[in-house]
Amino acid sequence: MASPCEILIQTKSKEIAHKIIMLTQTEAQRIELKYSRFLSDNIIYEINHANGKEVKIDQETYKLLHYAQTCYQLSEGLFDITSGILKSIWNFNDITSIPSKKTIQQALKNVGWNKVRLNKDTVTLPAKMQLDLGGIGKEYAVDSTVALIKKAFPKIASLINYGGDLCTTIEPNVTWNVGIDGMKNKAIQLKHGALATSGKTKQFFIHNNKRYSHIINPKTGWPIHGSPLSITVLAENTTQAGMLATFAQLQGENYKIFLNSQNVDYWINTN
Amino acid sequence: MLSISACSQVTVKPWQKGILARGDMALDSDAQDLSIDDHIYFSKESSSGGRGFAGGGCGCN
Amino acid sequence: MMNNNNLNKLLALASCSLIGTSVSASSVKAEEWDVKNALLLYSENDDRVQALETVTNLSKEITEDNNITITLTTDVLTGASPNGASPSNIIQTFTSPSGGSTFLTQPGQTPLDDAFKDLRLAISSNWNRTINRVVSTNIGLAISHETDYDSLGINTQMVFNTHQKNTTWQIGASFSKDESKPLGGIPIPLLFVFPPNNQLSKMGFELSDSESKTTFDINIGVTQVLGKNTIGQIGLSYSDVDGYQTDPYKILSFIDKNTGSTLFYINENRPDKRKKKGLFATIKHHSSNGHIVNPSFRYYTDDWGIDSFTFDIKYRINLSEKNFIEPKFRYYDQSAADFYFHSLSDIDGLEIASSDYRLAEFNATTVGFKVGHKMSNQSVFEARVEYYSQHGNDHPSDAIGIQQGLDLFAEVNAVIVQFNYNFTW
Repeated sequence: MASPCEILIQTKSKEIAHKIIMLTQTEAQRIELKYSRFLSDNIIYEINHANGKEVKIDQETYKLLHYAQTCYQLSEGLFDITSGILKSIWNFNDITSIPSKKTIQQALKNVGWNKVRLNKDTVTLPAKMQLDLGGIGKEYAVDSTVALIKKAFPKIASLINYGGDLCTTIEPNVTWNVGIDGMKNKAIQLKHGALATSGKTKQFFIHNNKRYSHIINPKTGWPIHGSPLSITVLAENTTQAGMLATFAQLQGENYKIFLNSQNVDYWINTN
Repeated sequence: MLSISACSQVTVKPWQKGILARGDMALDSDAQDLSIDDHIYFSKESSSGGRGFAGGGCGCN
Repeated sequence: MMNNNNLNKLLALASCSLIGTSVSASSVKAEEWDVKNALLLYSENDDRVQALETVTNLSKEITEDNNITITLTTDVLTGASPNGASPSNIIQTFTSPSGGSTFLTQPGQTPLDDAFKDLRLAISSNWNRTINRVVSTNIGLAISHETDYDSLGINTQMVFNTHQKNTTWQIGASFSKDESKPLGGIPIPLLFVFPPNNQLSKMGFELSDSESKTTFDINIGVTQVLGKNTIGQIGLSYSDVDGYQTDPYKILSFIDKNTGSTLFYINENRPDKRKKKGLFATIKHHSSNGHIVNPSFRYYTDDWGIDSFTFDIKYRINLSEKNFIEPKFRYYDQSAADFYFHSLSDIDGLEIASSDYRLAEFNATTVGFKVGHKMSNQSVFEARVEYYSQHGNDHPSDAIGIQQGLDLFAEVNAVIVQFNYNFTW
């Protein structure tokens, strides 16, 4: 989670603020250490290097993977946490290079949640497949932290913001003023709920005069075309907001139709 | 030499107070030590007070 | 299927069950006690005062706006303390205050009374309340008890924040009443020390067991943010003491005005009124290399004729997130009280006099350092070592006869060692 983490707390007490900060730090670090795919001694590493063998998982990991599974089903396969490896076949630094059809076909062989077997206390990944929780990890961390704060400090209004994905605890006395990157004069008055933004990295490339975002369609192996630079969605919690934004991005040109059909507040940055 | 009026024009915004919020930047960060020092020097010297602490008196001799 | 608005509902359900009860929380208590423990070891030169002190401070947020603090202090003192008599060229014999034991002082030595053991217990508590964004208040109580001395005090303070908390004003007042109940009773001022007090009552003198004094303090200060890395404070204080301020165990030597030999001893006597004024200033600055420098100044003056200047400076070097070392230096300089005499050669018309070395003219320096180690997010261990030494006028110009070869200022040196262990419970 190499993004800036910010906590806003409405309190007059330095001690309470300090404790909330400590709590947030501890929880954020715990989740990062547990689910980061850049570390070599956590459950994700174990799962990704099990070479087809069954791996024992705890309740929290099961819930996360089960959630990813639900999203895979709801998105009809467009959201797939096994599709991370597709990023490596596309070179976003050189926007003129395109992988060959053969390369894409080869890569797709190791993609597809339908190939994963998930049980209440175990998960089995075929060899060469990889799980990447990048699409849900950060949002989950925000929600988990918020839940802890609500339990320990039920009367304190605070806002947890991990790199632009944010959520409130209880309704504050002074409404939170949230700005959106790229939208200078627009600020959201947030009293309650979560905001998540999809598409924040400004990577893209152009092919045949079409602009493609960095999000790759796990079914075709190709980047999505036609989606805006970023989509921000307001929802009850960060996980849901983040998923809606991601789903919208995955719709490509049809993102607006999708968002409108879901009856949610959203903001688009097309610059 | 700063004058008081110049001081009151310095406004550091809340989000700029990262350094000032550090525990070791609080003026009473070593309150326990300062209190113990006050007691020692009160017993060995003739001056007292200064920082505005109020503590229990003693018949220090 | 995706453009079905059921999707959002299903997603909401899914996300709620993800976060819901699965949160693997490390247990967190919102209301915790902050505990600070200090152990102080104090040791003076030449078998003089040795002290051991423990201080435990407990602090807790009762609600977001209310914080209470309780401090418990115990003090054990042993060792010898100067009784005020002057060194002489012969052996001197003294009776300790209770009239019990006697002790001898060798020629040339500073007379030290070593029947000086004390145990002190003190408890104080404080309630801090935040009224609103601008105002907060404080009220406290302090009680101290020793075998021969009791103190009871209350204090209150109001704090005002302005300019987005860049400026803080504080105003405080305190009142205390102290009672001195010395072993052997209250000595009669300026009277011959010999005979012991228990014979005096047979001679028709009226003696009281105890005497008291009251102290009223008021202080006002302002703390000002001077920049992103600097904060400063200035304060003024005023104190009014009324009542018994004499040290019941201290005496003065009456010497022969020609030879300087000691003829007899008399009890000391100090004024029963004292007004003190102080001006204090401090700055804390965090430099770009991560170190913190903190100088302080204090000017003090009172109507006993004592003026003093104190300068101290601490320099904190943060070696890492967890460790620091902080050297410290203090310089102190005071003038003598109007009624201080190293010894007396004339008592005609004398009403107040004391030979307590602490009222004399002297300067003192303290050098030392402190180290700290953060053991965890919840606990810190610190240790400090300091060396304190006083320098007074050992050979005043008005020394007479045999006194000229003697050291007439009973200056003290002390080693101070303190350990702190602070944690959240």
